Amino acid sequence: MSGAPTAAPAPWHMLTAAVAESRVDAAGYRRLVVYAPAVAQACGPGQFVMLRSPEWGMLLLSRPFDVYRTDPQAGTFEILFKVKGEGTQRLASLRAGDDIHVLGPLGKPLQLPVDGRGVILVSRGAGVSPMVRIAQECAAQGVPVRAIVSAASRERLVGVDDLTALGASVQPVTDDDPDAPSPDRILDDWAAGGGYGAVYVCGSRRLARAAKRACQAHGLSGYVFVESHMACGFGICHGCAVPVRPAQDAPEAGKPVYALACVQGPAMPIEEAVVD
Amino acid sequence: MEAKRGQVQGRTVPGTVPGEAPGTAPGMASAAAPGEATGAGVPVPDLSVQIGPLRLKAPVMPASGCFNVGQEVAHLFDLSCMGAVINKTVMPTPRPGNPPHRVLERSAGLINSIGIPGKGPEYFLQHQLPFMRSAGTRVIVSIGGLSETDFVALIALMDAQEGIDALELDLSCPNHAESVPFALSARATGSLLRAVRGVTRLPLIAKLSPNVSDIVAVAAAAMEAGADALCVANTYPAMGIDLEERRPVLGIQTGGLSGPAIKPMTLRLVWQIVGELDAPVIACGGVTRWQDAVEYLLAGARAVQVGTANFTNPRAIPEIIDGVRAYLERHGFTRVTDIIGAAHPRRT
Ligand SMILES: Cc1cc2nc3c(=O)[nH]c(=O)nc-3n(C[C@H](O)[C@H](O)[C@H](O)COP(=O)(O)OP(=O)(O)OC[C@H]3O[C@@H](n4cnc5c(N)ncnc54)[C@H](O)[C@@H]3O)c2cc1C
Ligand SMILES: Cc1cc2nc3c(=O)[nH]c(=O)nc-3n(C[C@H](O)[C@H](O)[C@H](O)COP(=O)(O)O)c2cc1C
Ligand code: FES
Repeated sequence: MSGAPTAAPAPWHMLTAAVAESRVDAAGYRRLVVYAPAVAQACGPGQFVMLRSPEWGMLLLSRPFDVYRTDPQAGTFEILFKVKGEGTQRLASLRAGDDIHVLGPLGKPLQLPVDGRGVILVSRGAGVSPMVRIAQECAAQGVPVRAIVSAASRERLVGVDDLTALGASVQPVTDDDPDAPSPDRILDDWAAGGGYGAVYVCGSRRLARAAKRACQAHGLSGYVFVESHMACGFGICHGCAVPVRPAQDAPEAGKPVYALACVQGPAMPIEEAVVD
Repeated sequence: MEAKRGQVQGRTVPGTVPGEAPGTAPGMASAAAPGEATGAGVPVPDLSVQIGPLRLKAPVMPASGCFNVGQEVAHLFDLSCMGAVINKTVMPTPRPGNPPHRVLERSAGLINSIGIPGKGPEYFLQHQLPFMRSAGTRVIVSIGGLSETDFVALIALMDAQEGIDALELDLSCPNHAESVPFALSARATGSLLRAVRGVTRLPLIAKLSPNVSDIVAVAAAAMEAGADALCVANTYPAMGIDLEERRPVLGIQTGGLSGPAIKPMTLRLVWQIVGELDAPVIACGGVTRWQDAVEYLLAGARAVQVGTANFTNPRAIPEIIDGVRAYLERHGFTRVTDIIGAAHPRRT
C-alpha cells in the first residue's frame, strides 16, 4: 500500500557522536545538529533517535526525538525540541563539540506514495519535526507536498520556512488568528481536490481526528505519529504500547490490542491508531 | 557459626580470600582462553561459575523481560559472551499486557507495569527458542503462570524441547492483576516447587519477590521443595503521580521499581540469603556497571542478571563482563569464584 511503513528497517546504530550545532528557534524551541554519518545516512522519513547527554545526573532513560532533517553529505541529522523537564533541559545545554549518546535510526521508515500523487502534512508544535524529514524525501523523489502547520500563536510557528524551502506549499494556522481557516476545512478541500495519496499527522489528537475524517471521506491513506513513553526505543522493554483497533473480524476483536510504538511506529496507519 | 537453613549442597563460602598478587597488570582483558597466559605471562581469569547443576561460562546474563531473546541487539555484540540467554517470561496463553502508560522514570529508577504481554508458548517455541539456541551460550527459559496447573503444563512443554539448559520460574511478577505472586509467601512458593519438581529434570531457578518480610524463609522454602537455584529478585512495588493531571502516571496505577535505585536493597537480600542458606543465588536488581556485578559477587551471588541497564546501554552486558575480568586481573585473582562471597565474615 502506498505510504505504508516498510517491513524491515536496517539495523540501528549505537554511538557517541558530536554536537555540531545547538541553537534556539521560534518561541523557545531548541535545535540540535548532531554529527553522526552512520545515523544520518541510514535515517528514513518517519524514523526517530534516542538521545542522552553524558551529563545525565540521576536520569536513566534516553529521550526519543523525531528526526527533523538529515544531511547525508555533511553526515549530520537535526532535531527540534521543546524543553519540558530535566532531560530536554540537559540536552538544551549541550554546545557544539560536546558528546551526545545516540541510538538510531529507530522505528519504521515511511514509504511515500509511488504513483505520482502528493502528500499532505499536518502538524502542531514540535510535531512539525517528522514532517520536514518527509518533505525532504518528497523533494528528492519529486512528490508534491502541502502542509498545515498549526501553533498557538504566530510567534510559536516553527518549521514553516524549512518546509517552504523544500518546495512545500504551507498553510500556517494559529489559534490567535480569528480569520484563520479551520484545519478541518482546509484538509477537506485539499483531499477532495484529488491528487493526494497520503496524509501524515503529528502533534495533535484533534488534527489527527480531522485527518482521519478526511482520509475516510476521500479514500486517502493516513498515518499518525503516536505518542508514548519509551524506555528503550528498540523493542525490548514493551513499555511503549499504544492501543490499536483490531480489524472487525480479527480474533482479537473486543479485546484490548496494543502495538509497540518504537518498532511498529512511530507512524501508525490512521485506521488502526486510536485517536479519539 | 549457626547451621544453615535449607538444602546443603556441599557449598562453602570462601573462608580465605587470596591477597593482592603483586605484579599483575591492570586491564589485561584479551581474547585468550581462561588459564591461558597472555603476552605478559598473566593468566586470563576464569569467569565460569557453577549454579547448582548449571555451568555458565560467565557470571553475567540478561534479566527476563529486559532483552526479549536478544534479536534486537545481536548486531551490537556477540551474544555468546554471555553466561546465558533468557527470554521474556512466556505465559500459558497469549496476553495483551497492560494499558499505557507502562513505564515511568524516577530518580535512578524505572517503574514499569508492562503486564507480561506475549504471543504464548507456540509462538515462543517457533520463533524465539530457535534463536536462543543459536546464541552460543546456555539457554534459560523463563516461564510464568497464574496457577500450579499453568506451571506444570508449561514445564512439561519445555521439558519436551531440545536445547533448554534450565527453567526460571517467574514467581514474582507484580504486574498481573489476576493473581497474587507465589513468591509473596513461603508456603505458596514451597507448594508450587513441590508440584513442579517431579515434572522435569531440568534445573529450576525460582525467581523471588523482594516484597517480603523474610526473604530467607521464602528462599529456604523454594530450595527445600526442589529448586536448584534462586534468582534474587524482581522489582519493588512502586508508583508515581502526575502533578499536572493529578492522577497516577501508570495505566494500572502501580508498578515495579527497577534500576540503580534498587541495587542496595537487593544486595542486602542476596547477602541475607547467602549468609543463611547453601543456595546458589543469581542476583538481579540494578546492575548497570561492572562495579555493581562485582559487589553482588562479593556478597555471594554466583552470577548477576542485567535488566533495566540494557534499555539505555544495549552493550551493558559485554561491558560488564569485560569490567569484571579486568577487576579480577587488577587484583590478581585467577578465577571469578575467588571473589564470590568474599565480603562475608570468615567462616570457621
Ligand atoms: C517517538 C517520539 C518522538 C518524539 N519527538 C519529539 C520531537 O521531535 N520534539 C520534541 O520536542 N519532543 C518529541 N517527543 C517528546 C519527547 O521525547 C519528550 O518531550 C521528552 O522525552 C521529555 O523529556 P524530559 O526529561 O525533558 O521531560 P520529563 O517530563 O521530565 O520526562 C520524564 C519521562 O517521561 C517521558 N516523557 C515525558 N513526556 C513525554 C512525551 N510527550 N512523549 C514521550 N515521552 C515523554 C520522558 O521520556 C521521560 O522518560 C517525542 C516522543 C516520542 C515518543
Ligand atoms: C520493562 C520490564 C519488564 C520486565 N519483565 C519481566 C518478565 O517478563 N519476567 C520477569 O521475570 N521479570 C521481568 N522484569 C523484572 C526484571 O527481570 C528484573 O528482575 C528487575 O527489573 C530488576 O532488575 P534490573 O534493576 O536490572 O532491571 C521486568 C522488568 C522491567 C523493567
Ligand atoms: S520503547 Fe521499549 S519496546 Fe518500545
